[in-house]
Amino acid sequence: MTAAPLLDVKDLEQRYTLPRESLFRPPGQVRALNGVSVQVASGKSLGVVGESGSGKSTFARLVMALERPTSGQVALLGRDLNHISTDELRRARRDFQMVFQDPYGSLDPRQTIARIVAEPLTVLEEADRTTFRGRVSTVLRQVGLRDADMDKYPHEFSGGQRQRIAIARALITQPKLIVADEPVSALDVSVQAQVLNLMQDLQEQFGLSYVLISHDLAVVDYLCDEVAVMYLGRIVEQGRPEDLFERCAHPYTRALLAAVPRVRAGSGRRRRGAQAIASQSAAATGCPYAARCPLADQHCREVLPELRKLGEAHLAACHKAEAVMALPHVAMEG
Amino acid sequence: MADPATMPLIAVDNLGVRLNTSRGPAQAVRGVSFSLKRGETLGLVGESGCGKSVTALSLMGLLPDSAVVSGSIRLDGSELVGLADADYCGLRGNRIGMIFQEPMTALNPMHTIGNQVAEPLRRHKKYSAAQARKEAIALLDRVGLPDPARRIDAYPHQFSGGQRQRVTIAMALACGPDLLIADEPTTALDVTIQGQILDLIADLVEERGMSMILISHDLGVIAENVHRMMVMYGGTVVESGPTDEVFRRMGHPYTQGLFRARPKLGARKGTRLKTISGTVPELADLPSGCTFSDRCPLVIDQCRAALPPMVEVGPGHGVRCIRTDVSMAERVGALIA
Repeated sequence: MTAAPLLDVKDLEQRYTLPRESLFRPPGQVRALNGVSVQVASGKSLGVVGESGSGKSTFARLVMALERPTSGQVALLGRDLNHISTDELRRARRDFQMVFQDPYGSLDPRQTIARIVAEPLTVLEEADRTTFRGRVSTVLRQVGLRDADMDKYPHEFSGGQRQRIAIARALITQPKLIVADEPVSALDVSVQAQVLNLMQDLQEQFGLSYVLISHDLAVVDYLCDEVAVMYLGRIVEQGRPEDLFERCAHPYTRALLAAVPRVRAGSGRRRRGAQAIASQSAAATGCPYAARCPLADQHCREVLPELRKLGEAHLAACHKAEAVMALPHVAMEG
Repeated sequence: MADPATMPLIAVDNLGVRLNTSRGPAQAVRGVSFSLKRGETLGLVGESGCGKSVTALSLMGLLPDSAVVSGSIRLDGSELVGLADADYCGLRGNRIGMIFQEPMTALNPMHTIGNQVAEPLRRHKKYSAAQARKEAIALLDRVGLPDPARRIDAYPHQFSGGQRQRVTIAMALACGPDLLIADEPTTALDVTIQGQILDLIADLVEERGMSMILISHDLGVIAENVHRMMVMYGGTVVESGPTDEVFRRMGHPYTQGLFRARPKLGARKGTRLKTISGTVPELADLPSGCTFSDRCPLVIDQCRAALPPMVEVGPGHGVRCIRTDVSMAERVGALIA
């Protein structure tokens, strides 16, 4: 890759302070992100997967510069978002927009669709009403809605249509990057496919990049060029979807893959192993996944594994990555 | 009375539910019939607004007062439709247990989990406080809550989502019900926790010989967890049969559409998902005739004339479609049995 990446995240750390429990002890801390570095090239998509509490939503908020990180940097098009003035940041927001999970909560019920969709633009530009309405009608058509929808209110639309409106609002500033936090998990299965296809079309049409946060591996597989698996604030495995899903090198990725229910005739019950839940606040030594890992040994509990290269674009943080890769394949759906 | 071994535990016949919505009266459930023997499990699949939760709530007698229920629901031969509320209270949580979708709203934040698990025992089994507490600890231990004796006096907010769902399972099981209704029990949970909870429910169903109705929008969850399944759309059952049979040869265009629309692991970027055009209709404005006709790729004029009858297409496998000759020629289904 010769061109500078669109998004460059380096050693990102975020800690939250817990409420104080005792006068005589310092308050506890939650390490939501523990040194995350990742790059997204222009026109490519990154998927971030993990369970709740893995730090994926914190990551999204930091990429959107909605919070200041404890340390590390987020650079978009070469500009460090945390070291520019508020005014510059406001103007820089044109290049990155967000689509939220809940299309019922993310649209103001008292505003018309035209106002909702035009809002990001009105903060950035001075223009008259006709210009704005022209721009709104263009993006509405791009997401498959009609001009007549402009003067309606959100309650007149279904969940899938609302998510289209949210996407239109993100598109209107002609961003380079859209951060989507679980964009289809609140939608019905039949409508989910329509929105995913739309996101793919828009990417082809405008050369957009996505950072897609999802707990659904299949959704990420469908839409992304690269996937990062997070566990307790760290990236434990990263690579192209085919690397991750066919040659997974981290036991956590394997556990996630194995947990997806399969549609197969005569599949019956598959047993899954019991798993303990690890804590986020303990500054434990060794691999954070060791407590749940079936392969963990003394070395794993003592030494934190670093992300290391296993293939051309395939990284994993596991001492036993080679052993995991040699395990029999987790069956895919046909 | 007939022989209890052959008599179904629950028999639902031509169930209809009419709800008063803000858009006027709506027929939320139409002509739903099924029966379950002891130890059998049934899955209900469908998208939001297809009537699966309303069906479950009518079994529990938890519909709003304005709802009009027709048809019959028999539990061990006795009729539940039109049962007085006081009599229903004796059944709910006692003979029929329910696990709800969202464990945070199903639990009362003001009471300790111990009291909530003990409540049905005190009420139905008339246990003393000490007996109920002991039993509650045993139940919480069975559902895999760590260290139940110490945590029994904790409040719901002190638990994680998966642990809370374990508590609601313990509540549903407290009185050893004959029928367990699980309404999207894992939708609010992570995929790894989902597996553990489904395993737990399957173990308990087997161990206690309960019957279970599992409601889910996820075809994968249904495929792995129940003997028989019903696909619902617009308040009617559009396809039903043994799970393996339905997945091997899907007959209804809606079932096929749901199956094809799921993003699948291993489908690379650049492949397109096959969508079902349009959106799930409001129950108040369902099309006449077949409820799926507005979105169906195979629709013909006849489909809109009347609700199609259930057609038998295999052993115990029924499809409510008049175009099964075309739809089943495509052989949509999941691999071989």
